[in-house]
Amino acid sequence: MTPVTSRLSERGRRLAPAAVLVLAGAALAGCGSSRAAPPTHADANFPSDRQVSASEKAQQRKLHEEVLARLHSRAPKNKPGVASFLPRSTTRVNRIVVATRSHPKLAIAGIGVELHLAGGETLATLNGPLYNNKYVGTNDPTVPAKFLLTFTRVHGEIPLTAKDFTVLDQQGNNIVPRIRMRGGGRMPGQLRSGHRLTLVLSTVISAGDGSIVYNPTGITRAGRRPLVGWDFIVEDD
Amino acid sequence: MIGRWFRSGRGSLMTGYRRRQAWLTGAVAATTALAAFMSLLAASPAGAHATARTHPATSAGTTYADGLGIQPGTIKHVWLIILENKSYDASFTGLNNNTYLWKTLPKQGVLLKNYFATGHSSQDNYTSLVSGQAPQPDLQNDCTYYNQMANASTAGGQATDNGVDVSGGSLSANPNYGQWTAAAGPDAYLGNASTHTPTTLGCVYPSSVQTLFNQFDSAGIKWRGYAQDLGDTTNSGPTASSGTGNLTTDEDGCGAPYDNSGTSGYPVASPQVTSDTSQPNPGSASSGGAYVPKHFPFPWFQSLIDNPQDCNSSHIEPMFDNPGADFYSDLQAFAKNPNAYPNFVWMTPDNCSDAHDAECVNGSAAASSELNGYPEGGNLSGGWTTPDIPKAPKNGTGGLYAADLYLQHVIPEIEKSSEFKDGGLIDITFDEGYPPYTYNNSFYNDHGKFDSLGIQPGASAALATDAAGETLDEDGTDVGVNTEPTGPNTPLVTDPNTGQQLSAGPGDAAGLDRPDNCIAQTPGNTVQPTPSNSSTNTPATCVLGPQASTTATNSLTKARTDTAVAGNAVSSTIQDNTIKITDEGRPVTGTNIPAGSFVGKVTDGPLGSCKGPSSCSPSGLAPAKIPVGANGSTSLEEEGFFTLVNSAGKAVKPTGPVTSVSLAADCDPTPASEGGSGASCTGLSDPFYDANTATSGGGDTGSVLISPYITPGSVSTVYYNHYSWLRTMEDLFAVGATSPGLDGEGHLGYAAQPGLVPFGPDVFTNAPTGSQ
Repeated sequence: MTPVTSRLSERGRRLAPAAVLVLAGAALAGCGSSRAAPPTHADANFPSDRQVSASEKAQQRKLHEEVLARLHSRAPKNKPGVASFLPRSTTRVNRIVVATRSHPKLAIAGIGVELHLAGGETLATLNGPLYNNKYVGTNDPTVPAKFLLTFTRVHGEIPLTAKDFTVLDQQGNNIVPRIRMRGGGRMPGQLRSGHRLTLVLSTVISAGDGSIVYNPTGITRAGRRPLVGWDFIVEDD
Repeated sequence: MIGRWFRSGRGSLMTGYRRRQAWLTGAVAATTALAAFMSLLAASPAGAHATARTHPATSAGTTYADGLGIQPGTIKHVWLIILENKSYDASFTGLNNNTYLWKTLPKQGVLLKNYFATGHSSQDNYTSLVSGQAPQPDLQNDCTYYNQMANASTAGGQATDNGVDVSGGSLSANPNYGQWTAAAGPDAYLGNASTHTPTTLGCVYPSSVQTLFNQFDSAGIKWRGYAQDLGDTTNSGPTASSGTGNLTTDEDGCGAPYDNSGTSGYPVASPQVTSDTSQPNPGSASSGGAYVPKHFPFPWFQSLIDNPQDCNSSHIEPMFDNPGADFYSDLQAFAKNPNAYPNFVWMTPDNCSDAHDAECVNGSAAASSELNGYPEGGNLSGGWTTPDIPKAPKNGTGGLYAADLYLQHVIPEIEKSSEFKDGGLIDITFDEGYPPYTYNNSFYNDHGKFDSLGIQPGASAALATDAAGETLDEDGTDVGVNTEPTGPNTPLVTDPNTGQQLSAGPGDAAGLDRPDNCIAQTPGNTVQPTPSNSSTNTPATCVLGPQASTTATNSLTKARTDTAVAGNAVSSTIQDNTIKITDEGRPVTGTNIPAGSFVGKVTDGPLGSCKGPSSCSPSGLAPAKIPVGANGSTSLEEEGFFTLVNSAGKAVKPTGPVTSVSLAADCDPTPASEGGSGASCTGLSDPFYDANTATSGGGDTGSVLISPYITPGSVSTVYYNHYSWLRTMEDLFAVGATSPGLDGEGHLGYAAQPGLVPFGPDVFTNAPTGSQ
């Protein structure tokens, strides 16, 4: 679990943007100009630089000597193993999450997603986006990319259609990728117990952030929710 | 590094703007009364920067000199592990579910929820971290070439110290004090102004720019830098030399891209023209290794590479696979001589282990075959040295998945060490984050927001699955969405009216739409605006972008004619198989194209990507073939469409059949005498330009720190950034006595900003009691 922010700090976090705005506004007002001057670090709200006095210099030298002494001091020999003050993790980190109709999941490539469907279960793992090195450094706005989606540990029967998958790219384009079986052949109409197959999803997508969404019933019907969405980043620079 | 993000005013970041507007509404309500404002400042992390060296943290811990949350010298060893390009959302929320990074590490230390990067793209963040220098164009562009910076001879009316502004003695009075300035100006165009030939301004800071490591040298603080895959035979990229340079005497020892054997004047002087490819900087992993110099700060400062006492094997080593002289060997060897272990350790994983590459270059056979020649190799990026052999990423998958394996391999080794138990500090952070908004959990959720706003029909049904409770909207409103703070901890350019961030600061922001009055588009106009010349020079809110004049050579925006085009008078949708997203907003002319037309919404994808009305394909034009395989041996069918719109952004229809269209360059209203198109641009400005569209900045990356002096499982919401980090390191080791920096207190560059605070008692939540 992620640590839970305290109520106070949570409140502070929620109010932070407002404070930033006000500070920025104050800075602008202080500039006496309609334009913000980059960078903003010269904000008039901030105190002036201090002048370091001779006595402070002497203190710095004293502190420096003290720091060196501390750095060379040694604590009693520690016990072997991981530091005792660290909490022992009771959470198994296996990089597998479970997605059900009532609890769809967000995921990233490499994380196994255990899909629980009405007709069966399977473990889906995405690999990608894959794009050729020739596109790296080009800063092309769009890149031909592929994704490998592997289904293993299939139990039961799970219908499979090309329209189950949609790619949403950085520019908001909603794209239905071309899909084929890795190794050749057409995509089967369903996954069956014992199946292990990899689909190749091909598309041209905008560089940047994006997501592949798996909705076993299609995405076009109002009110339906996808089962899993894999976030990804296309970096071609 | 994340690439340049090409956006129109209607691009994805519009969402950030709309959220901001909603947020502003809430903010106004929240700050109606002065009293509310004052209490807000007291409660807000942003208030940390309202006054100097104060921490509004909830911790009641002691604050030491400069606001540091622990007595200097208490932390004896720091391990900085820097990863790549992931926002807080991606790393520390349920999106990154069931991983070591999200589930385990924050429980061991403190999670800094508002730790921000300072720029975009990657490399400027690394240099800012260690020097306090703000982003500058070539570094923001991840440095095409390994070359010297071209220094300005004067700044502030007096001679510089090799480009460094020494004209002032105060950052309050002179924001450029201590900052390096290019000969072409502080906000110079990335390229040759006179010829429009892309060149570079230089990437290696002169010796006048000092780094944290120079400070450590002078203070007697031991340090080392480790990089994974460093020294691999071909890790410098396909055009690099063999990498056989002397690792103890040459610049190579600092991880530079090149062996300087037989090379005079190394790095080469700037400008380095494009045609001279003798010393390009490899920006991506190669089949021989995944080390990229842009992620290792050491070779980018002549104050380090010119010093043989720094660029040697006592300071720079490979992380793994170099028994006797690598990270693991050192950790074990120094256990017998603890005082010899470095006080500061910099760790740069390779492009696979740092979450950068979605697919590791030495990835799976499947990936290789699918990409028809994509490099294929062994296991994880060069392998690992005993004692532990971690699992290689399955199928060569990179990203946070590979980074998680790396962290789970490395961090326990550190945590076992005596050095960690006796005043150690492990710091896991990222160079930058993207998208720059936070707590939205995912891109998809954000686009789900699009859907609800009616901007992106079809992006339906956002997922709401984050177990951490940090999904989009959290409580159903936009309140709570953080955007990047202004203030002393970030050199952002902001909109004067709204405070909206416009860019990560001066530098390359190619692809952004421009306001009409943004004459920074003019090549050669490198004069910074001042109050007296603001009417004729670059407005402060302008950011550099693609060259917009009709003579532009930028391949993305120069004028062109598309001939694979089909349209008719029935539909406003025109099929254009070469159209790109970045063409949105460009003026369009052609037979049967109404005057004053522009490119509207663009759909650019594989065959079948247009799922709209039948007008998507008005004439059944065959899709274009574009190469996919490494040798172009395979192809993918691509088709593109755009909506023809008028200057108001409203759809218009051609007056008859359309078989070709001419796209003008983004029109630059700069007077022709200054190289623009002047009055001819009247009425041709991009109808989609929106000054409030946020651009990609450094972003909130979040950070985790683990130490005996940090209470496991704590959280800080204080705003910090890379400059705060630098200031913290300088304070932890009290370098001010021997390296006074800009402020006399040991702080370099923008780490010396008045008001900037180092990590305080909100971070060191378990610090021992000590004297001030």
